[in-house]
Amino acid sequence: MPPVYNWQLGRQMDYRYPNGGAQRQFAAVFNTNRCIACQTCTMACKSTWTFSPGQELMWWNNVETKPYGGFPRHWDVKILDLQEKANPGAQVWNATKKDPKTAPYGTFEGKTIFETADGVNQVVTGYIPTEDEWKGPNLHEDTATAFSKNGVSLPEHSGWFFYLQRICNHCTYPACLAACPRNAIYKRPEDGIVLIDQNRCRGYRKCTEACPYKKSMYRPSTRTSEKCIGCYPRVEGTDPLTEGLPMETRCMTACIGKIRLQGLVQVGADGQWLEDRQNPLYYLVHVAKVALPLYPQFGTQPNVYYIPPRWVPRDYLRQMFGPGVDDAIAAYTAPSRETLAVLQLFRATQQIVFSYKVEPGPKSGEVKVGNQVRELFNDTVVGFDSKNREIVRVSVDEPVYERPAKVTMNTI
Amino acid sequence: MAEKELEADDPYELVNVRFPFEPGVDGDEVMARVFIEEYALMGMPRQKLLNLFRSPYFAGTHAILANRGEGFVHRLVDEVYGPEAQEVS
Repeated sequence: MPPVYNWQLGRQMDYRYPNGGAQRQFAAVFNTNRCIACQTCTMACKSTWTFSPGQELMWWNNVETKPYGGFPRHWDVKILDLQEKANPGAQVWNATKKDPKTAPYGTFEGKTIFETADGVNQVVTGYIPTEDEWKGPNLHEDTATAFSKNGVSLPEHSGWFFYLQRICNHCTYPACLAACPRNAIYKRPEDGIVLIDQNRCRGYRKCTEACPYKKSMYRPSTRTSEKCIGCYPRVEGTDPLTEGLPMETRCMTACIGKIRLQGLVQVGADGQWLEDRQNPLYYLVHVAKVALPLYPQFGTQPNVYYIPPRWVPRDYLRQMFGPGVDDAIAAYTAPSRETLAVLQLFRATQQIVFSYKVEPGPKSGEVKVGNQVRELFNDTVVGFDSKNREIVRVSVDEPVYERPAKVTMNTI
Repeated sequence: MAEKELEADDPYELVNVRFPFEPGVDGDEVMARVFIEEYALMGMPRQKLLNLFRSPYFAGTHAILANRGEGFVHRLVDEVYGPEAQEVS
């Protein structure tokens, strides 16, 4: 297998194919701190792409509850367990071997899912979930079971967890693509979106077995596998709404919590992100470093990044997002003026923001976060489309409309 | 419970599993601070933030106020926003 460079692991690794030469890459940042698991994203995706017979158990987008929720059930625990058994006690990071560009989180000294496979029976270490495991996403995951002492009738939560939003990561080194014996899976050079050619697919389910995130799913009615298609007609700009300009996916634009930002980043021949300082995704991932990949140790170089939840035990987060967690939470908890402004771009427009600038505004207040007093400024962030035309302008002090407590619904 | 292994097919296994906090760490306080700081950094005025805790429509914040009282929430809000201006007599 040819060696490829995985910057999330800070080292070279073995992959079935050399770098594919994508020029741009689909990427997104999800802010887990602001998700309320309303599942609007889930339903936006479901009602667009997977509402047909045979797709009943398919949720290309899902929001699960952590620590113990998952779709399919136990997906991450199971793959972590397989990896640990294949390389016992050695799945560790060396966070001291860092380089700002080539190894920002340190170096992963364990083995990826490509490296633990024997290469004969499996190209990638994985498993096929049972039908039961695909059933009942969110079943009991965050069911409220405590009752208030004050006699309020609805049960409430007596503790805290967090929600993990998941779609296909459109990985730079997709496990599904490496495992397909039919070469039915391909990664588009124009946007890095990973697709399954339905004409070539024969439903062997090697992709379902290989994808560590379990985002390739078998459809019994067509006897083929299907997966998130990154809403490619929208990303291509062929949706009439934006007159030919790239638009974010359905799950992103439907997000009422404003936790999602998606776009396209430029990548070089080696599969790495090219420097593009004013791209909001590049800024959040490579400059502010507040957003981290999900289970980078799997080795697929996933392209959905997460701002980790601030309140969750760090050991758990380090396993999930790698050793960059402490720095990411520190940077998010005490954000710079620029980070605060860029966070306002989340869900400010349906069009993909290719670049931004921040216009300084007046001081608007002071707050104490941690032990630091921070000055707040009402800066304005301006977003530009692929042709460098202004498409959105948002201030940090966003006007708030508070709905009255007794609102009359459905008065049409 | 503790001496028995988890079983993946146990239908009650996944009901409302929460993160443990370290002994001595007040989980409500950790979460309340996250809520307050998150909204404060977005420029939300103090009074609107307090309304999030008082309104039963916001289940997470309201549960903290219901369980720990107004004084608890006020103390944390004061720590982030600074002491509230008092009327001069």
